[in-house]
Amino acid sequence: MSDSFMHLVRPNVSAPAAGSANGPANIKIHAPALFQILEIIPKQALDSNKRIIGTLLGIRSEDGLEFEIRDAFMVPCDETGDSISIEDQTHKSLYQLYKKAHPKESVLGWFGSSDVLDGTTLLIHDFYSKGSDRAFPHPAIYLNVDYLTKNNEITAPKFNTYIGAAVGKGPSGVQVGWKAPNTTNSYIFTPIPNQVINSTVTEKISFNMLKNQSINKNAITLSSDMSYLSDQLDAVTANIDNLLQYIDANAGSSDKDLDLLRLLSNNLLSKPQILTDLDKLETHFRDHNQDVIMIEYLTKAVKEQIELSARLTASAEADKKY
Amino acid sequence: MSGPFPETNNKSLHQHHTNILSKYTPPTATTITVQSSVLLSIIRHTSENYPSLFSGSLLGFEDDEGSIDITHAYPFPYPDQYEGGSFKSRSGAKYQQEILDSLSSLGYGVEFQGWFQSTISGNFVTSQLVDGLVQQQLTNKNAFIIVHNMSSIGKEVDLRALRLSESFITTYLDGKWKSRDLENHKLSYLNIFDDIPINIRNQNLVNLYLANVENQPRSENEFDTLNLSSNQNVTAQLLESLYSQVDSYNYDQNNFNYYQRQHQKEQSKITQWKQQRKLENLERAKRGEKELDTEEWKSIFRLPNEPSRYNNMLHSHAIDVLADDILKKCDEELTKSFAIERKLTANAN
Repeated sequence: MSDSFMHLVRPNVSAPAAGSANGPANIKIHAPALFQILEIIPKQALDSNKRIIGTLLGIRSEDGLEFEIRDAFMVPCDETGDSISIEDQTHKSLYQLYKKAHPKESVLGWFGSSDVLDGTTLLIHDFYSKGSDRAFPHPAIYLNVDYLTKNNEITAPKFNTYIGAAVGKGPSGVQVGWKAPNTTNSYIFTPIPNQVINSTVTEKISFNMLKNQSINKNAITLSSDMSYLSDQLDAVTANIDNLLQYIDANAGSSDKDLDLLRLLSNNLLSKPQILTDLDKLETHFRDHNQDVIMIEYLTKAVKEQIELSARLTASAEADKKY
Repeated sequence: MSGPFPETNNKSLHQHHTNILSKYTPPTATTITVQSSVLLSIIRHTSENYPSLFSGSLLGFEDDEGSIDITHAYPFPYPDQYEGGSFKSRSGAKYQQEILDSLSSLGYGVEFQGWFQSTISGNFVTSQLVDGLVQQQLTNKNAFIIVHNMSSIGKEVDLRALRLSESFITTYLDGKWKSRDLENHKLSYLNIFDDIPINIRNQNLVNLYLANVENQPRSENEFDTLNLSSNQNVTAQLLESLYSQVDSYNYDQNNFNYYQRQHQKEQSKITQWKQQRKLENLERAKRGEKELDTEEWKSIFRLPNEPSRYNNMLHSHAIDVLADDILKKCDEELTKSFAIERKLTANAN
């Protein structure tokens, strides 16, 4: 991300803009959650007057500076003029169902897609900042998906994330609903950086598969025999080519890559003792290969025994006279 | 977790179902289309929680082109003790219904289509999973299950969409499981399941995002497949699963062998009896007496009943899948081993 961020002291709900010495905040968006958001947001285009929003779920670090958005769901809302009504009950029941399967996760905030921060943004943010089953007592985060140009053309989606904390004196009196603007707080939206992550290697492999096959294809077939071996080998070869190219182009001319060259030559020259004793090495490999072949042999024997037994039983039973 | 499934009375279980549901309709949807977010959600959940096994509901709708579109996946709240454990549990069904109710209020119009289940290789073939799936397929002809084989975790993604075959379900509905029934229904342990192709669909905005995202540098652990010893633990685990499946198989086979011996014994008694009666009748004919009934043995001898082949079928299938996975791992390992050996010894010369 090319944008630069100014890290302000993090405000929180109970003590707005309090002077606690907190470091920079960061948001990690898990790829599955990101995809879910991207699948929900286009519903907005179907009906230009309708705002599409949803709840962000995940984990907040103990100091409240690291966020992990792990899941998301849509919450229906109705915008009329200056006010908006959010289907509280849907949010609540979907959250509680999610909570059952993910007890350690909670509501982090909300997402939507809008080119401006306006009064409605404030109202929605107020909804997510107050009450039970929402981000309270922590400040809610807001994720905005930016996928339209000024001329309403669709472009590659960008994600902007903010922490919105209440500032100023809160409203007095009893809150009757978020529809009435005089009961809402004022919020300061602090942009915070985000990054997209994959939680496991397996997930990353599938993410890369989706990425590599996505161009100009509507459907990707999941073949049953997905051997990544050749793909992985290609990647390694490409890495080595890259490195060689870099060394050819740069390393001869200056000393600034000396450390890199040292690291490489150390890695290449130092090898374990076993690699120098060729006979022993070959014996090791032979033993190992024989072990593997033995496993293969026995496994095949089991497989064939099972088949044989099934056939013998079938024919023995078919031959029975009584 | 990966052990053999309990041998307890699943016979009574499936006979019980037969009484409730007895109509089988062949499926009409021939492919499964999964939204990419759902694919990633399933994989995230199953691989984050590995080695615990997890399952969940797959929700979506049937499109006009004979495909099932899966738009949502919800894992069940608790891990499974064994594969299929949540499919027939009351709490699982309740959770599934609550999710459906909440989503229908969102106007998604989604319905329950199937399950996903994480497993190790052939261990997914449990009677619980099969019972649950039969019940679903009888209620909804297009019901299916996505099985995530975790034996390649961190190396590749091994997902299969499966349905029980027509042969299997019709045999199941007969409920007798004698060799003759298998023969009549053309059922063997190799055709219990039908594979259904899975398509992954990226929505346009997802595609646009993916096309613009920069290539992230690959980390070292993504290249684990290239490591010579990377299959060591997995192969050991697969072999252990194979042993325990073979043990269960043998337990069942012993019963069957006992039956065959008993049957043989009775059979030779019958042959003896028949011979004797034949001689007796010859004597009687000579004396001009009335011949005795030659079919009387039927009321004298009782042949043992062939025990159900049901468990044998399931264990055999599990063993077959496990063996294939082990062979695949071994092949990979040998390929790597030979390549690395050649490289190392060539360098040293």
